[in-house]
Amino acid sequence: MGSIYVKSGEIQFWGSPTNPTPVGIAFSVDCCPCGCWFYYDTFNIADTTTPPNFYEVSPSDWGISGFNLVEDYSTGTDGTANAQIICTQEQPSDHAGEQQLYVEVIPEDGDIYYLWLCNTSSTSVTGGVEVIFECTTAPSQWTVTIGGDSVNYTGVTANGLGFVGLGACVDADSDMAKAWIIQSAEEGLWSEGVTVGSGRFSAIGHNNVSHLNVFDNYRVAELRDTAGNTCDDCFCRCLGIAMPKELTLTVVDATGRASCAGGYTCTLTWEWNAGTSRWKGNYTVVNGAYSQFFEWCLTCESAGDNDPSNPGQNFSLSLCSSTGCASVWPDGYLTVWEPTSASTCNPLLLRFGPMPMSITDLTCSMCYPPGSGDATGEFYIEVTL
Amino acid sequence: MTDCQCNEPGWCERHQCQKHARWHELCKTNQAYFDAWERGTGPGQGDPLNRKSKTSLKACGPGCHLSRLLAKFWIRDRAGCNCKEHAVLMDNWGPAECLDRMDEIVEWMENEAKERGLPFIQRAARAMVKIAVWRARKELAHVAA
Repeated sequence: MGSIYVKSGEIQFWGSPTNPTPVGIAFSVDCCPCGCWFYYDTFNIADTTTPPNFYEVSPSDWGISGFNLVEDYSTGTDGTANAQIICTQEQPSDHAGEQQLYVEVIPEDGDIYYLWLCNTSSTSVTGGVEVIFECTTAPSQWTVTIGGDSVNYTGVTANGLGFVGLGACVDADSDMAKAWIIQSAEEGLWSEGVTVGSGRFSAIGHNNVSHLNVFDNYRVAELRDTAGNTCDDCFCRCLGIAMPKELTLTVVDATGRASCAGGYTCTLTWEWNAGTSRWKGNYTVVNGAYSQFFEWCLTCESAGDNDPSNPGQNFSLSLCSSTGCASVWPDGYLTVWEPTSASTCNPLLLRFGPMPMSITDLTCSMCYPPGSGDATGEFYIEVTL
Repeated sequence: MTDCQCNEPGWCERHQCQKHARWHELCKTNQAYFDAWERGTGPGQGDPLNRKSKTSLKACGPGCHLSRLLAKFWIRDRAGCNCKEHAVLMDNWGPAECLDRMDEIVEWMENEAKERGLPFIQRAARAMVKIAVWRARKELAHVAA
């Protein structure tokens, strides 16, 4: 099988190693209302100088060789400077300006690869976001750049075939972009304030003239479907609005035994590779000789963010680590708090609580010595931009 | 910076809601939040418990309820006492800010107790303020409904 594109439950095969030309076989797999669109090409077709569904930008020379997309095809031993190839498969107009792109490369020292997302043209890389992946030492060390932001990778490992997976996604509404390398546990690049166009085309390229450039497994996808359901989103959203890398947590409406905690605030920072989508932050309430450490995790479950009557329903808050002062919570420090009805997504205000406190918790030394002071109290947590 | 006019947290006359420190900061620095408050859809604006209580809802606010509680102990307004002014001020603050300013309110009560030569138990005074706030919240919610 060569490539697949899917929209509204229709699958078409565009070629295979035994039948390299687009065969146009189509059949319906009625999965509506899912309708998540993506285009995926394994390049597993016979050698050709004209890859289907791609527009080659001259003077480069792209082709299929050994079930991979390669450049410079004709020489097979070197590459063309600033080579570009554009995928002609156009993302649907729904959520234009939101796109995810992934491709695999076989890097060598000093290589530079490009991903372009949300281009406005199928014949040039204009109007989109440019993501640069520079491999300083293959395959482990990379610098990933979007605009003026960059991040370094030092521990990338290639897969068994020598490929390294490069990915990026963009969101025009929030002016944000992310880029990452698959085979690494290191933090990726999260760039805010990026000018993202409203285009629907994607493209890749390189600037490596000393060797044949090999690509595989090209995948471009929309992040959400027409109804706003999550397809393969790399941004966590609150009723469709992408969340930033950093949020602010504030303790509010603190009364009685918790009164000294009121007004405490901390930054919640996105955790890469935490195993789940979440932000993390901490503060220590200090009151004279007494203090208590709180570390909070705001978790985002991507599914189920479509009910306007229940903003923030896909978020939950919990303590990341054990602490005193939680003995009267429903599940102690393991309690998971859902947003209250006072929560809103635009502007962002996720409100959790009330978190009750009791004099019976003898491990709590937040506002009073254990066993003394106000008998009860409570506080709320608010998460804002 | 936005067109926020408040110099400090508390009651916002322009947006008719209480703003704690973080909301006040967002109002001053984040245009999206400020615009939401301008539209009447900002944090706290849909919450009847966060409104300027007595005057806007014609319900008995925390100051009003505290006066009623004290009256049951025959402690009423008298010449030289700022009791009524304080009650009105508490009503204007609303339940949330009264809790924030608990120490200030209890200090008023302690000073007045000294003036009158009455015994004063701080824990009892705090409990009375909390009861007054709780009753005000309940009544305001009822009025809003």
